[in-house]
Amino acid sequence: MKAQTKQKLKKNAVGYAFILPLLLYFLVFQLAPMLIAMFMSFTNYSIDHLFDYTFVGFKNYIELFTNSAKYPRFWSSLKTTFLYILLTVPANIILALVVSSLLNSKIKCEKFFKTIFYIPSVTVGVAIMVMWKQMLAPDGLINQIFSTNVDFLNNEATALVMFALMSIWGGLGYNVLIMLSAMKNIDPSLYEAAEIDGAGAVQKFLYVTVPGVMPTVLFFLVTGLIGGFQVGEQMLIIYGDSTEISSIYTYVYGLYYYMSNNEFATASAMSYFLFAIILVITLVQFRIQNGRSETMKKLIGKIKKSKGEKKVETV
Amino acid sequence: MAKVSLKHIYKVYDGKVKAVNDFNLEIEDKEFIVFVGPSGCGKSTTLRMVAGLEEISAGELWIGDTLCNHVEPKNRNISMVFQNYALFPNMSVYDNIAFGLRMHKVPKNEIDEKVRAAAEILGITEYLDRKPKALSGGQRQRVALGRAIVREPNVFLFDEPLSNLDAKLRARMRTEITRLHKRLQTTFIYVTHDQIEAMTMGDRIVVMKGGYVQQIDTPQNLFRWPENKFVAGFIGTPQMNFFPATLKRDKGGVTVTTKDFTLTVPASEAYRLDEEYLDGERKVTLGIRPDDIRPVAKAKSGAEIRAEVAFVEELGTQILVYANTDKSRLMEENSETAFCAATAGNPGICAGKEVCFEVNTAKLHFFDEATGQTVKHRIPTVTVKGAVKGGKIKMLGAENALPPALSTKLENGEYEVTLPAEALAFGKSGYAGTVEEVDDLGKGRVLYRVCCGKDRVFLIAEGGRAAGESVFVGVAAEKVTFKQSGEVIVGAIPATFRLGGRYVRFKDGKQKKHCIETDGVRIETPLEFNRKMYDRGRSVFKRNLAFEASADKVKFGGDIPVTVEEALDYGDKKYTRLRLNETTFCIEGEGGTNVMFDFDDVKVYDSDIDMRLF
Amino acid sequence: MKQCEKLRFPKRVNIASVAKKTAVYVVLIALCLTFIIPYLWMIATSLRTEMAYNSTGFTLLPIDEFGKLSFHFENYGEAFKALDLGTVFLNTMIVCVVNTAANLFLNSLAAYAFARLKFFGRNTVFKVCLFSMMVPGTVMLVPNYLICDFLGLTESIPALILPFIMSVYNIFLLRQQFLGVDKEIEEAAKIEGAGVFRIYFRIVLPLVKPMLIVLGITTFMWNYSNYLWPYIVNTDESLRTLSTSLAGLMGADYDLTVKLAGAVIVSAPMIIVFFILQKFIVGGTMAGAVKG
Repeated sequence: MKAQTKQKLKKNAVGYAFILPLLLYFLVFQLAPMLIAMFMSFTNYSIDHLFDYTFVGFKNYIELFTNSAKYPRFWSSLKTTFLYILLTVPANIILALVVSSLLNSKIKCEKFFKTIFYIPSVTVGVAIMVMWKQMLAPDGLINQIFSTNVDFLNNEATALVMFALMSIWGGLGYNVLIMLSAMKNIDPSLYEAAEIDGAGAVQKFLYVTVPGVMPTVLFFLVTGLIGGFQVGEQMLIIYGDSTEISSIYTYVYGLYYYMSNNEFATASAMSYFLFAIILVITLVQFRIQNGRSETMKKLIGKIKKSKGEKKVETV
Repeated sequence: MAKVSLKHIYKVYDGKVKAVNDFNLEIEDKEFIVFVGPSGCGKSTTLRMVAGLEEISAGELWIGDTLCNHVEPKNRNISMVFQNYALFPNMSVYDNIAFGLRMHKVPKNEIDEKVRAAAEILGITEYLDRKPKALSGGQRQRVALGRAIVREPNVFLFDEPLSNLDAKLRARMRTEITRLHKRLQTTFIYVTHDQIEAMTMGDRIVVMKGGYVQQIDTPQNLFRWPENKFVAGFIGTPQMNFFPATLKRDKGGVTVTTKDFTLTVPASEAYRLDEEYLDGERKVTLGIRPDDIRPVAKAKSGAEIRAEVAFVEELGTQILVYANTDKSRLMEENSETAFCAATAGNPGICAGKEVCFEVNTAKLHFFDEATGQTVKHRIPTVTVKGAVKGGKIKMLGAENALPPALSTKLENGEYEVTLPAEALAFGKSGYAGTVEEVDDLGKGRVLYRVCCGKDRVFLIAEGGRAAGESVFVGVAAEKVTFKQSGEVIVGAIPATFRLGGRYVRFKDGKQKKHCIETDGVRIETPLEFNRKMYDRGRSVFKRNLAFEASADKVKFGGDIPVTVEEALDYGDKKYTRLRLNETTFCIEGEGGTNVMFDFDDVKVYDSDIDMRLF
Repeated sequence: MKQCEKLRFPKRVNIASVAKKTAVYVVLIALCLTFIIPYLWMIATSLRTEMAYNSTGFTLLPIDEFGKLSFHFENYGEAFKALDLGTVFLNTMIVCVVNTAANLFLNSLAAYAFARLKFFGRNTVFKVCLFSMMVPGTVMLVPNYLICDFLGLTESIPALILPFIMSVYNIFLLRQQFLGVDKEIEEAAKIEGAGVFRIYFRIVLPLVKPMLIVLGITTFMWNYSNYLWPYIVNTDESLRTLSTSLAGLMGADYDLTVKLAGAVIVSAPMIIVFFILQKFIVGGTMAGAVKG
């Protein structure tokens, strides 16, 4: 008995010794912060009540949604965030698809193009913002090229579009890298089979390439959504923690605002609401991912069907 | 330099899936043992349990004189060669070989000496500075061997080491490993799925299937005396041919009837067959090795099969003829009428021709169709006719008195008397006979066929007697079964008995007590036994268990109350039939209504999953 | 006569395919320009004077107001001072180096345990960790600030290190790598007498070296670029990192040429590292996306 128990104890001890740092880290910098923040979101902890905060229940959450006098920008910030997502996610996916298929058409210098597109991904974020801020200034590069004089970033109509453009520009390299490798993973014999069956370039793209990269498109969709809801850092870098331009006031930008004003109860509640949104997206993604094999089967069925039709035509 | 013994080893996953069942094996020092079987048969798992890479679910593993169940692999003094070589890719060949020695803190100069010596033996000296990546498959295998031999372990373990090499290299490495075994004089345990490797390398072979040991024997005995259809089919190439058949006892021997042909088993072999299969109805499987079917112009012995040739394979020294007794199913490879014959010369056989094949009827094999167990035994249990009259029995050509226990129960009449080999022994008196045949079973055991009167019996004894010698055969009456038209009148006294029940603990006053509970009867267990039970974990209290005891280890005295059913007087030995609740059993001795168990002897089974705990 | 005939390759120029190829190149090169021009413009402008910049139109060359090439490196001197580069660079390097080293060691330790060691509750702990991966960084911002405040870590260098000293995500990636290592190799080491830690450190870690390099680079780069956390947790100027210092420079009253010089100073090291270690960085990106 002793030998066996001893052996088991030793195994457990070794295992826990290996994950001890993780456990400590997890407790102190994952679990404890989450719990503290959750607690704070139920109090009125703020600059006015740093030491005498009291428990207020769901008041913070309810007020976020209903008290438009106290939180005038809450709903509009969500709308701005949605708008930003609408501007970036589809464009990201389409651009990645197009550029990747161009790069995948057996051209030379593929690696060179990929490298160039990837440079923004390895440029320090603040430096990129410095660069763009100067380029978009009234006397900046863009206005110089087009001989105009628009203050793109301090203009309600253009500001958010500019941030969307910057994000699309900055993310293209990464997206192309992922999309291209997904395209290269498609079995080349599928293209050959489609070609023999008489498919043209467009049909090959629609019936072979698109189904083949569908998982990647989904990946972009989900990461785009999750990332889109967290947008705000770029605005913070450009404008600091307060600005007159209301069209760039995203949800997370608002979060930063309350945080830098030490309104921690509000900021905590907003964090948890954001977490809820992202959790929902993630769970939906899991649902889709589990059903994806089904979808793939259907798509493959479609390809086969289209091939079959083609055959009938050629005969 | 060590014996390895595996005693009732089990491997159970998640408390239900059994990968290895009741593995028992005594490996002698310096023996070359091969585990062979199809994939998933548990051979690798068993080897890994010996190595200490898998936990042993139940049973005992002894290496030398140490119980090794919970000994770390590094302290077992073993070394192992893996299927994928398992060389450390970031180390040079030299460092790979030296790794184990460094782990065991061997002085540097000694390491160097040993590594170079091992490299010399294996011819890899010139590669010592290279990385494994820069070596070919065969060279890598040599490095792996080098790493194993340099530690001078007690036991070498090989886990399919040659399966990644091409056929030619495999044959070469095979002889190299055999040579290594001769040179090192150490115990080798070798796992393979290739029966040719097993047959050519092993001193003894363990054939496994589905987690069960099928047979353990020398290559020669496996080939000649397969215990079941699986072993018969697995060992030997080309594979043994199988036909569904029935057997019937005839005057001259036993007639074998299949769909398309009949053969006769000669009298000299017929008594090895189980009596109960010779009724002409029970279905058996006939097995004939291709070497025992020869295409001939005309069969001299009359044991012939006529069949049409499907195709012929020329292998150079050997020609394989694939034929079918049913012309309409010529191309069906798996049909019950297809077979393969091997011959040395070419008597002008070609596909589509009807040919006559001669069968060596002395080497036929028979298996139960349902269970696959052999019906033809090397050590047969002989059934003879005996006539009881007035307390005396007439059998084996002599008349002898029956002991009181039998004479009271056996009425006058004819009986079928079953005589297992262990019931018989040479003696000074008994039944007179002549030794007909001597068969050495190895390990000093010799099987004798003795002709007594008109019957032949088999018994096992030490060597020293020759064929033709006159002997007396004594019969241990308690091991004999008497039947009348298939119904058992008096059975042999069982050597063991089982009690079903559970293991419980309870508080008796302030003392904690542990008991076997069988139908409400509680038998308190001693400390040593409890310790062994606790070793099996908490679940022993939840499982349905069975406790097996040897009848000769249970003695009168003690404090377990039993009911005496009857006294059995076997002359020089006296037995008593006892009852403990629902279970009856016989123990030696007389008198008393209390018995005691020898708990060192009691074996415990988990009856929920039929597994021996210890 | 026939033999004297001139050998000629058949001309099979497919005009359509050439046109298509050309179009593809044109599109790609145009796209490429939108990536190169901003950088060239930034570098060129950082070498000019404010006056020269204002007096000319669009140009990608560092020319003065008279149209002549002239390099004004004094912008860099000024940016150097404005960024307080000495302190800031040291701070950044401490954070990056400590975080990278600690991450590699501690993450691989935990990843190895999850991949290979058997201990009570292993799968539960792993699942909880996986779940925590779903909590994005932005959500953790407030909680992490609160805990750092609670522990008195704000306004210190450790505040930049400790919250990121491990990464569940990297543990996940490393665990996949460890699972891919041939088990036989570890078993061989075990039989040869090596202990658990030695197997991990001597046998298995060297086998996943490529992944360690990839994760090392990505961790380093992430810490180098990280802006938000240092901005929130440390306001003291002496605790600034390259990113926060550059953001400060951007908001301050400096010439745009100096600001761009600052941006070049801060971003150049990583871009140079990228060109040297491209293989690993791209590999890291791929490893990260496989999960999706």
